[in-house]
Amino acid sequence: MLQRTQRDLRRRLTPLYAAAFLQNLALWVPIEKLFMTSIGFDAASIGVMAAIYAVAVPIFELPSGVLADRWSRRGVLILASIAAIVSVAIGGLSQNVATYMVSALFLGIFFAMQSGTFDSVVYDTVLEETGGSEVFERTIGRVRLAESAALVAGALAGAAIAEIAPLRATYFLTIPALIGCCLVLLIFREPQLHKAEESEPLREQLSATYRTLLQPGRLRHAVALIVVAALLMQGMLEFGPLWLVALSVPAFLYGPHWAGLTAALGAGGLLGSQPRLTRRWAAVLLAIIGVGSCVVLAISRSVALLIAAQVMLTLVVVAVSIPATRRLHDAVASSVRAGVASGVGTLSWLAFVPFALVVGFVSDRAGIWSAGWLLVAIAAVAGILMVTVLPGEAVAPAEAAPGAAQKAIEPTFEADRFYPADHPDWPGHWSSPPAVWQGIGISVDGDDALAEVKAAIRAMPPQLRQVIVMRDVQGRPPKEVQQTLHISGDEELDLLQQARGTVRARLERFLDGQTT
Amino acid sequence: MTDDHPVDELRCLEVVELLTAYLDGALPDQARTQVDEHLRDCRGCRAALAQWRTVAELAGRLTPADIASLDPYVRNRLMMTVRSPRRR
Repeated sequence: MLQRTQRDLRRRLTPLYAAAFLQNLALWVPIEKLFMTSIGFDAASIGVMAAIYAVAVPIFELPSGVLADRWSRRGVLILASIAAIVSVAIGGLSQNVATYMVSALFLGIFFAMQSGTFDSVVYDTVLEETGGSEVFERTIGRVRLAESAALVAGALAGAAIAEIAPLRATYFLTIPALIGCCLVLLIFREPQLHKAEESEPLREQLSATYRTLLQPGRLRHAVALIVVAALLMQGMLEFGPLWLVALSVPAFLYGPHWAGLTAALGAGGLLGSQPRLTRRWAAVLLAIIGVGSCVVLAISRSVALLIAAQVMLTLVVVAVSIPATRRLHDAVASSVRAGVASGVGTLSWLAFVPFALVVGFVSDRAGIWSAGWLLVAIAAVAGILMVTVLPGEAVAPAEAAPGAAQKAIEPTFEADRFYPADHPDWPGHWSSPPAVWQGIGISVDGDDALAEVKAAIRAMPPQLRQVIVMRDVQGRPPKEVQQTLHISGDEELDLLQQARGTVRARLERFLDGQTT
Repeated sequence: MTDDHPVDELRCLEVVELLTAYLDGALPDQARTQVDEHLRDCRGCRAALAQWRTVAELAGRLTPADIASLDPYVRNRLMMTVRSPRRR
């Protein structure tokens, strides 16, 4: 990418990074469970609230997405911040369970509005400034960093404030940050790309989602692992502080506790990207650590051990969910990827509803330690799934089981189409030469062939796709492409060669199917 | 091209890897001549070159709207990998 483009992009995104930080600087989060207990919540009503919340978010998610597409993404983000302000104001003023539930409902609206919209606005800004999606992962990584830094900073500051001021103060002191968030969003120049973009019909997406989700095989195991991992994670975030409440731990320890959990999100992400994680011994080790952490939660009365166990469990769950998600995508065709991704997300939310109610009920009747045994059971199921799902096919696309899924990158021609190097007469020459497409009696000009080309370009990795889109679709000259993407001539040729090879292989399979 | 192979005699295996550079006119003169000579005698590689042109030509028929409609998929894939169940 040109230096100038990079600088323009950074300048344009700065308000968004600031917004991500300010929106997540929630001082009340670490002491929330303590505060809730003080206004009359017990474990059962906390469970009910978590369940209401888990139902509310998916309900608001879709309308807020439609609103963002049709009206304005920046506008929806500002509305989200306003919902958050309403939520913390009501929360801080709450004297009883009922008003606090209203506060939680507004928080649900905030989260539903904020979640998909933030990623979309970042994505479209990157696309508008650079002409491609190549730097999206890096950019969204910075957003996540800003969010996690804000969560950690908010946790530590919130706990410190709670030591010297009433618990309610943490709610009210969060409001200036949220107002600041609205202001920086007003500075942000919104991308206009989505206005021209047509979206997939909802009904089609839903039916394709269900078909894919319900098909038997490995996909089910991967989906199950992701859902169970999400249960454990959400359970930790929602009920983790209850152990501290039960032990009457002083407020200042809630900060480090929450900071530990949020830091585990980042560290788990790092761990999850390690290829070694998918070896059998690593999966077994992670399963043991996961179950072991839950056993500690079920029996230990030591604050340090309990916090350590919660952090370890969170770390393991985040780490595992990354290769599990990759497994999911390995097994899903790109045409239904969007549907399946949101389908799994919705499943996770819905599975959390009964789980939250049962955990709330059990810990209310028998204490939070008894609820810990529920976590042990869930972690055991997760452990079995980890050991079955993770050591499956290798991570690198090159080593993926042949025919298991449409491959993202294909060789120019498969090696077995040439005679081997030790062949007496024709080393390295064709044993199975390609056909002259125009001469095999079918047309490569049809819409079907073009759809295959489009599908192949869709499925390939962003670096490849970007080059073939700029060169062959948009017809830009090589020099311009090299400059825009900041790559050498050789790299550009290499990427284009791979991209065209991938399209060619898919087209060949399609045309072979037409003639036989 | 591999070092252990005589430079004046390209194998099909190597020619197909040069197709993009060949079509771009990015090959050095000597290599270009070698590919030309190879193509004259090799029907398989001529077919491969024709397929390469077809791919580029078909991709050229896609519109910017087709590219824009790719983006929701990329967006969702990437969002899924970074999705971690966060604080409510």
